[in-house]
Amino acid sequence: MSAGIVAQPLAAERPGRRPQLTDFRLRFAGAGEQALGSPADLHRLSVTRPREFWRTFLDWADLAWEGPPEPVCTGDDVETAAFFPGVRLNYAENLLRPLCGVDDGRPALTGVRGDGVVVRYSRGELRDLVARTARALAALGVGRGERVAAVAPNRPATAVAALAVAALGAPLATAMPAMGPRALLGRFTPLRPGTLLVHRTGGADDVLGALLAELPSVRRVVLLDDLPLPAAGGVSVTRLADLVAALPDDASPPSWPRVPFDHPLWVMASSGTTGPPKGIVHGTGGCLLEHVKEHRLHLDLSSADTLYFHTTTAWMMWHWQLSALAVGAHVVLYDGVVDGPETLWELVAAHGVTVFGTSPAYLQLCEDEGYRPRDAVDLGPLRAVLSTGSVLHDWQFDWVADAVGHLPLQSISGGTDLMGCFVLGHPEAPVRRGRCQSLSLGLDVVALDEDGSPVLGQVGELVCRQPFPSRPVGFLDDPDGARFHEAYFSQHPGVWTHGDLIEIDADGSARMHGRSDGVLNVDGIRIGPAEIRSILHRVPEVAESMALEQRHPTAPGRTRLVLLVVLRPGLTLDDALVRRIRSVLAREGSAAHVPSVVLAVSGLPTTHSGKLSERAARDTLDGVPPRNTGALRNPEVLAELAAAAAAHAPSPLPEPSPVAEHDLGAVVARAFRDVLGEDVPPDVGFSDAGGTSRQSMTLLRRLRLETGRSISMEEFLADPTVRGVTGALASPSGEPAALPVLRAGDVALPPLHLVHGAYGDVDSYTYLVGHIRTPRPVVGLSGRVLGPGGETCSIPEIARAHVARLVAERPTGPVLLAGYSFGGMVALHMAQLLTGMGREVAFLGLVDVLPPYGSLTRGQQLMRKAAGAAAMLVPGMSNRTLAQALAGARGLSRPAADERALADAESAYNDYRPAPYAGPVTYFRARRRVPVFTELLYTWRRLVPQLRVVDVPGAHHDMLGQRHAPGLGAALSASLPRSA
Amino acid sequence: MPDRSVPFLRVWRVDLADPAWDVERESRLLAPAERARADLGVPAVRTRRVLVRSALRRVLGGVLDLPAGRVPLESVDGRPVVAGAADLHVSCSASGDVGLVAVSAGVPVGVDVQRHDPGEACRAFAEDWLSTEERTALAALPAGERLVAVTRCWTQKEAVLKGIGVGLRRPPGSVDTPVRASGRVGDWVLAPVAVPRGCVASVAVRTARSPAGVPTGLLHPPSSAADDVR
Repeated sequence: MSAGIVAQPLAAERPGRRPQLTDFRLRFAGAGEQALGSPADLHRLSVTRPREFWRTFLDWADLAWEGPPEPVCTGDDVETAAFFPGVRLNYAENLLRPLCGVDDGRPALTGVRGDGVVVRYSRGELRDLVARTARALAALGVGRGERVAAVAPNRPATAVAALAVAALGAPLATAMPAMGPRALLGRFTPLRPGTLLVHRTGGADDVLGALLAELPSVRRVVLLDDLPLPAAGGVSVTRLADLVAALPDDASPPSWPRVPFDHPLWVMASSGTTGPPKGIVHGTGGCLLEHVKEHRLHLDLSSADTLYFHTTTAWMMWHWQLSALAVGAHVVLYDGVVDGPETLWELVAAHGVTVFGTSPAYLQLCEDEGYRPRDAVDLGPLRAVLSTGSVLHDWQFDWVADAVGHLPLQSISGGTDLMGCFVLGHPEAPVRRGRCQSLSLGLDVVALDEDGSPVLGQVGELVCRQPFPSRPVGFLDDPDGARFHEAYFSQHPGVWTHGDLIEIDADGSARMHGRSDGVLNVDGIRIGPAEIRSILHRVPEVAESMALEQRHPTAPGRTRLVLLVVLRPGLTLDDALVRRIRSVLAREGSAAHVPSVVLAVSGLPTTHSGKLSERAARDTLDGVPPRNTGALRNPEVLAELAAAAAAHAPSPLPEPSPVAEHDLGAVVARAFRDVLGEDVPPDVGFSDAGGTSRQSMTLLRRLRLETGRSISMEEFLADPTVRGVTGALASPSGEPAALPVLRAGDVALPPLHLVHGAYGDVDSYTYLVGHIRTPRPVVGLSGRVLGPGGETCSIPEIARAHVARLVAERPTGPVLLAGYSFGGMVALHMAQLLTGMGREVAFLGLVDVLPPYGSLTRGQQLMRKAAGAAAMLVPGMSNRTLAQALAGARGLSRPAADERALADAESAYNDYRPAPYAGPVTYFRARRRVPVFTELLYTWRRLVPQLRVVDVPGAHHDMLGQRHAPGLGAALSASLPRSA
Repeated sequence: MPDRSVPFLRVWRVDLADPAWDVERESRLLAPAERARADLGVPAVRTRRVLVRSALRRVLGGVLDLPAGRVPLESVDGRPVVAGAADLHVSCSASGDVGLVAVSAGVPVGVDVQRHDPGEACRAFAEDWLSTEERTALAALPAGERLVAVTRCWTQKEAVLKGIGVGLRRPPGSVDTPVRASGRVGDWVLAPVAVPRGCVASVAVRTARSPAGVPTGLLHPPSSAADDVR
């Protein structure tokens, strides 16, 4: 194949079948010269004659609608023009009506659950069920005037309910139970829904109460599951299945009342990177027309296809894939976890999926795991792979061609803002590595340079210059359209500015280059700069800040987060402050908010009109001559910024300072405040201030972790005030207690020491300890992770404190150490200290200890970040950290204090660079590994020549859990030295 | 006055958020030491202490046929005891807007209510008051029931420890609860107490026989000042 081409056009791959696009092209362009042109020519024609394009498409698509199709569009201003004002249609009717040449008995919707249960509806069954469901909902009062919100997983029950709501003309917003109450309320509060549809899987049971408490507009709850009815205060609660079952049998054909083209169909949430999420209202006709256009023309989707697109109900791709019913395609829904590279490919094989949609993260996971779908499963019917959510890298095109096949790999990109795509695949264009094949037909997409002129072959601002049908109807709570205007039309009047950077080639192919609007897209995770600024308000030393996405200096195509800070007069940026800034961002934001580089500058580039110029700063960091420095009132800061960036080198490992004696009183006061939510005067009793006995447990644990000392409940109750507790902690009995014995054993033998995890305590070893078979005692090494000011102790600090306690308790004899993850890293440092003191370390067990970020090469760091993103797999859900995803799998946020301990521990961990260790090490590696693990093991082999690797069951996050602890315990027991 | 030969266990619930409560009037039912202790609390704590203690006095007043203000309540190790009525056992608890008063005859009783905070329940797994057996049993529950079960474990532990009379001076980790709404911990029988959604409550009684259910009544604010005449 010629350079860069990894797959031939669909049309060439399937010579017997003419793509639908060819048919449409003949209808639209005629049989003349234009019809023989390239894909780029067709796109050009579609935007030169847009009204004709859309009118022809409406007719050609053979949809169900009524009314005059003229005018096609009411104007030329993208912001205000409306399409097909005379046309009326029903979304559900168009998806479900009998289609010529499509058997009503053909599968239309298949739901696959994580537990393997499969539910399937034929086209006829689905139509009947949606029609009956719509009747049941209508009987409740759901109709055009009603806004509906749904919290439900990606299952057929959700799709049926959504189609029924759409059939009735009620606008619907959908979301996932696992998003948690805060995110759900963010989405639903501006909607003010009257009806709430809830499927109580994956935590919706817990969120229902929270939603009802905060959404006073909700008058009724309709359950999509068959669990027992909950109490819901004054709100009526019914089960949809009961309502449908209670309907009289009625053979009358379904009624699909047709609504105006712009009648609201879906209400979506913007990514909410600046301010609260906006409710984006999308119209019925625009969504349908755009989806059918993309499916038929760009994807050649037909009733012969089975589509699976990996999504959740919270993401616009869910609506997009549902619309595939309109062409008679069979849609597969999956509601299970992706627990390895094989999950989705096995689904594809099991259900004969012909078009599979996924994300760069999942494809990367497969590549990293060495999984080859074409060797593992039968991909026979698969004819196209789609990818969206972030940029699909060049090497991933090669991987798909090699490990999946020379299929059209279509990297598509668009957004919630238009319910569709600006760039897609194309059945008549070959697949070039790294590129999207085509611009979206009928959408006048161009790249604008700095001066606002369209450019080819260079990166520019993605704009759409002419009206398009799937433009949102508007925003909720935006009566004068001011927010809508600000979001898309403030930069180029009359033209839609999407906020993405794009490079378009003369052949019509394109490559996306991240965000242009200051929104940072670091490794696929979107971050609003305002978000970072507002978090940094909590760091008093920082007067001003600017977060920037810098082109990665060593990894082409990647970016990294750089934070510029202006400090208050007289302050300097030292390592402690950098660490605190990172820690605050990790805690209040996420791991993705933590900058790679923090630079101090005396001022931020500002225009004469007082606006911060992120562009100028970014260009300076990227080494590009900043344009238009005349517009800046302080251009001199750019030189300073360039110098700071040049001077920035990886900071050497800071010399660890001794564990300082700290102000106990301040620690105690902070613990009281954190547990009770407000400052407590030093002499006010804990319970007098509102503390419960339950909270006293939390308080004592906090104090134990943060001071490294403990007091008994008796001592606490004797004087439960800040002053009293401080005194008790300072008294001799508050000194460190003996190391906790996790399991008793022969005291004559050297014990096995298990080093605490990221929370500072040893509770995470509960299950494991029960499965360690050894006559030795098993002793925990717990301790604090946080210092007196709330900052993180470094790994050397923690290790040194542990060694001191261990030596005090056992002055001689061999030492046996093991630790999981964070604890393993501490154990390694302890082993280095102990051998340095001449002690024998008879055993050092590292349980799935990932090398800290700082110790990886640049390339490894990037891979590891990608792996973190891969864990999320669904881009629409990706602005959570992996830790949050694991801890909050049930929609619950980790408590703030624990979150802080964890975030700080992560930062302590990633700042650490382990030194080589000459002694023997047993490494217990989780069988189910995060991607790029082989590289990480290489890092360990470099540091530890005597590395023995033992594979144990489970994944990093659950290997200590009940299920996998027996296997790990057995492996650990077998590795311990014999106690002769 | 109930027949003391029949085992008697009853729980009264007080809606602490009911605006009809006249807290100042209720506080006049309290003994000076009780009032002084209530006054130590921040306003919300004071209200809770006054209403729970006045409720206890009203309930005992009914049982003993005495005016509420004259019920001979004493405090032993921080828990209320009825002087001169050795086989009358009482226990009180409050959380959120729910106050509970439990009274039993002949058998020791402990009651505990806890507002369910999923975040707090999550945190329990990182604290040290759940036993290994409890952790195992909790992990086996469907995810949707797990966190409420943690809160219920806490109320059962507290109920038993209050029934014993030691409270948290004995580590709650030493009480191994069944991780079910009803069951036994040693000599103690556990039963759920009906409370409004959002809270979980349990009662523990030291008896060989399991109560069929725990009668729970709602104690209303007095409708007029005339009630105070008693």
